[in-house]
Amino acid sequence: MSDVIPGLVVDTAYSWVRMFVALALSILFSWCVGIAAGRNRTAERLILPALDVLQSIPILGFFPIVLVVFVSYLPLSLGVNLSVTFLIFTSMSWNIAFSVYESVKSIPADYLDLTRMERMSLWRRVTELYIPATWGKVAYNSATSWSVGLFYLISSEMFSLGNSAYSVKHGIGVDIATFASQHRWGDYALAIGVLIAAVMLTRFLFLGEFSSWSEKFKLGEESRPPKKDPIYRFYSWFNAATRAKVSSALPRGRHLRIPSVKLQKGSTDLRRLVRAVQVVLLALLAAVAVAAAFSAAPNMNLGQLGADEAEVLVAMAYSFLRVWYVYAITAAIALPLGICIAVSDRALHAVTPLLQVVSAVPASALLFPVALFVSTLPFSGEITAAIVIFLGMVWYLIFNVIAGVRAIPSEIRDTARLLKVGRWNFWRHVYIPAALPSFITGSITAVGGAWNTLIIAEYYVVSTRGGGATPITQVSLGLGKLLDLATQGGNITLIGLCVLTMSLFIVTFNIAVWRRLYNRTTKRYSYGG
Amino acid sequence: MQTLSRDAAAVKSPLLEVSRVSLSYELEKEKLDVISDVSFGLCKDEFLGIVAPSGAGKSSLLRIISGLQRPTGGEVRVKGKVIHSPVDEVFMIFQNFALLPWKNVLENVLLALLCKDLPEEVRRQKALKAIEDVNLKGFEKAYPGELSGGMKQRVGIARALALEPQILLMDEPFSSLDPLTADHLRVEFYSLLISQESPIQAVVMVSHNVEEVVELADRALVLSDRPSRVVQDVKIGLPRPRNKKSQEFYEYTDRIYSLLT
Ligand SMILES: Nc1ncnc2c1ncn2[C@@H]1O[C@H](COP(=O)(O)OP(=O)(O)O)[C@@H](O)[C@H]1O
Ligand SMILES: [Mg+2]
Repeated sequence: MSDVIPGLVVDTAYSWVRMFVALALSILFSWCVGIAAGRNRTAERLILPALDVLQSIPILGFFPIVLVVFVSYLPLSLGVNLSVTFLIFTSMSWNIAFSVYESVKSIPADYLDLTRMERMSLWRRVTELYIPATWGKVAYNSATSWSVGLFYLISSEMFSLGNSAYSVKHGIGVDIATFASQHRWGDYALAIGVLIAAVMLTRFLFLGEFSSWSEKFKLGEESRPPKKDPIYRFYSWFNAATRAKVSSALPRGRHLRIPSVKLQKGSTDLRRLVRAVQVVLLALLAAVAVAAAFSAAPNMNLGQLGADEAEVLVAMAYSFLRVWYVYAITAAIALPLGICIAVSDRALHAVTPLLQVVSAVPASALLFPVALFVSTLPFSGEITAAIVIFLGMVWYLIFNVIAGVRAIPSEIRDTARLLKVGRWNFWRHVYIPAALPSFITGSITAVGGAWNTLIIAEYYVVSTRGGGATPITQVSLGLGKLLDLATQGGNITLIGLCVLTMSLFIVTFNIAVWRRLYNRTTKRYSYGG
Repeated sequence: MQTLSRDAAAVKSPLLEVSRVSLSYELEKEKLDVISDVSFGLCKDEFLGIVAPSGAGKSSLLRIISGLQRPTGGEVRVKGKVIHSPVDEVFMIFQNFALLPWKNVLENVLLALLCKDLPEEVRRQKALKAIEDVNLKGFEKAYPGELSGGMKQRVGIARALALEPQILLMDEPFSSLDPLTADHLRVEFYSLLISQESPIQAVVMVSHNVEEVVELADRALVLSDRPSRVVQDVKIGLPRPRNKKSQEFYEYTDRIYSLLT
């Protein structure tokens, strides 16, 4: 059995090359797009809404199209490899691009004046000011992007499309899917073990170091000396990474922050104007997509379109309920559990290594045993979906709750102890409110991720090369399933409707709910000395 | 107790006794001795200032007195009873105010009354009275993030007033305020806490600011640098209100400075 390990290590190395290439491409792409948007108003107005929409699109849904395009123009192996890398790239880049934009926007004016006085060339300005200024957020976003990318790596290295199956030659995702579908659970466990080791190694040798190295480039902010305790460092690192992702992933009039400081009244008009521009852009994008759908299916009629849209809306309602009931369960577990762990030094030190190991496994890699395990139960598809969504969310919540509680200044804890407020009041007045901002941050990331998880949680088939398709799991109704089926069947109109409806819904939800909640909690809840 | 009678204090049994307290932290490799054999007493109606350089272990000493932390050696008695955990009689005001950022001024003050067995309305009245006493009337609904440093510390003081502890500990309460605000607040704070109606019977204030201690304290306990031990217990026999420009004031500060170095 252990003779599979060398092969697993080699395969993981191949997968990691894809991951690193995708990450490097994402960062390059982000610099181009983010710096352009940060420097130029026109670019800004085009790029920001586009990114807002793009990052809410369930990318795995597009994967088959990408795959078909790459495979039909390139040699098979290269085509598959490129499409996997491209998929990971898309999953990683949007929030990195936003963070580059944000960092460029928040460069203090003095620095810009300085570059102007020194008459720096654009190239030198980019390499000596813009890029260094973005390192901090890029590093933190890379950390979250890595986990997101891993999810897609595992689910895309081996992919079935209709009756044909594509797969890369070497990849840990292929190993996992192969072992699981052949029920070689011993080998499967080894593959998961190798994956965990690789993730941990990457986290500590690369991503963690990358983040602390990037601290050097902070402009105009005092940098705090890093805490010595590695456990504490892990949580504050994780929280900083989630915050960086959320602050760059929430759509808003973020580019208005600077003028709005002074132009109290005028700024609301300006904000309205820019929001109007964004709405128009969104509407245009929607129109283009609908037109594309029509031209793709010229003999389609409006009645059919309406029926399809109705189907999409019903499926989305199911998926919405699914995401939120699982979120409610996850939150109800993660909040108290996170606080319990965080308040006791001993529990924190005992549990953290375990949590780090378990959280290293992407939910997509655990789908197989979960589906098998519950397959005999009633509603097994529903339960599998719930568990996979849960696994995708729970770490963001727990780790962020822990970080929030650990950030309570000792003087506040001491005061509550001196006031002898009692255990329940300690939770109610200190721990829970202290955990809230990072809990919300974690929730935004978790729920956002859950929508993408749906695509494998609601419907998953594995087809072995030459053999037929084996359904692993499916629910009765859901947007992820509908999108999967539409892609399998090559129904471009339905894909378009799914993606469009979902994106519009997510963008609206982000603006109407998350952004408000996030602004409210983060504004008040900082410990000022 | 506008003027604290030192002779009277001497005959009363001490409210607080710190006897032979020492503290050392076990660090990864070495042992860090922070406090070494510190003893002193504090009587009713006394204001004790503890002066020591930064990092000497002042905060640690206060945490031990409050029962938040156990000493490595020695013990602390409040009204004759050895304490092992926080007791009702003692409360502490912190340098960084320790306000809960998610609660407004009123709620922060109400927190002090949370564990007291009082009807809702009485609590509210007490909290409002304390807020009025520290001149924050009108700011009940403001959140700490909206207040200046001086106002935040006023909330801290209001919380202590509402709680009505017998012994109040203060850990550099004015050192994170700008000098002007600190000056105002010191004067105001003294007349508030050390008044006839005030339930607070004794104060221990820790500071590295010698002038502040000479201005406020009846006694100054001068500690050495880490590990801190008592260098001298200086009675400050200046009449109140104290004139910071007077010759005697200078003499006291000079004397304490020379003890510190
Ligand atoms: N929990 C702790 N663990 C280890 N060392 C500590 C701890 N708390 C304080 N110290 C050390 O003890 C010394 C005294 O700290 P502190 O009591 O805060 O001093 P002060 O309040 O006089 O500035 C400092 O050198 C500090 O680094
Ligand atoms: Mg201190």
